[in-house]
Amino acid sequence: MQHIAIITGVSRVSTTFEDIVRQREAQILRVAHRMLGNWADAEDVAQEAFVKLHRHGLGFANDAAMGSWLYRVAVNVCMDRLRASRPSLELTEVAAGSANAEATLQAADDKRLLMAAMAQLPERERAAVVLREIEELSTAEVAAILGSTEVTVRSQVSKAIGRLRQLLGGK
Amino acid sequence: MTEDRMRELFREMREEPVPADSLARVRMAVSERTERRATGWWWRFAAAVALAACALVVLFVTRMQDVPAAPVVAVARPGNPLASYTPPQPKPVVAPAVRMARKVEQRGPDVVIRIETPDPDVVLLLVGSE
Repeated sequence: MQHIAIITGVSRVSTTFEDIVRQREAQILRVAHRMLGNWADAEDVAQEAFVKLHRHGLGFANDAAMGSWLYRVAVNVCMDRLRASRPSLELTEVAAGSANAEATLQAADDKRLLMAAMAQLPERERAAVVLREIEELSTAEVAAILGSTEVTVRSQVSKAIGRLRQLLGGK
Repeated sequence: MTEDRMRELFREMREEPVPADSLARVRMAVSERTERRATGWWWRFAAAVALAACALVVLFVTRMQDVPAAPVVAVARPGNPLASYTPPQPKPVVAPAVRMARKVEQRGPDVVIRIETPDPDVVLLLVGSE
């Protein structure tokens, strides 16, 4: 069992690799799913990211640094996949078990439309929107993950929102 | 779709649960791949150790054979008056040539002929070989 030492604040905490996978897998899967549009590809990306973390091993300054590193790896793997082939979106996300079926269908339909519109964004703009708007990371964090500046991230998010509005016929 | 609605949907997406089977599959696959990798590492390590051992054995065996001693080389040091000194080279010892044994001719037994003269004090002796 591999142990990863993470320094949090002033105390050094020893966390196992398995703990990190358990803590972060949902996050990484969600980001990959929003980037790629289907769960099967998202699972592959999450696997790849965690195997890379295992290979990379120890030496993160803190928990945030590790989180940022994992996001960066996942986003890069997603971008590689998007460049290699444009995946078809699985737009069949209907939430089950809702009391109000009509509202649920409407919400699912809106979500499907939004996902389809996001699939048409350039990779970097899509990554910026997913990390900034869905994951609610700070602009600085998104810039660090994408390897760009905060100004660029702000501009990418703004452009992406404008494009989405245009695609979805918004005002 | 308005921008507000879009942001609302983003928020919903963030709160959406990730399918449990996806999580389980990722966890299992990661565990499998990392374990395989760890095992692979041990095999690679063992193979490297075995190779190093083989190389050492080969080196040892070749060293066991007679190797001519390296000539002594004087190391020049700056400012050392002995720097230019070169030790006298030992003259190669020439092994004495092996003389071929001369073939000794085999002679037959000596022949002595004794001739007596009228003078009793004079006797002629003829000595020869065959």
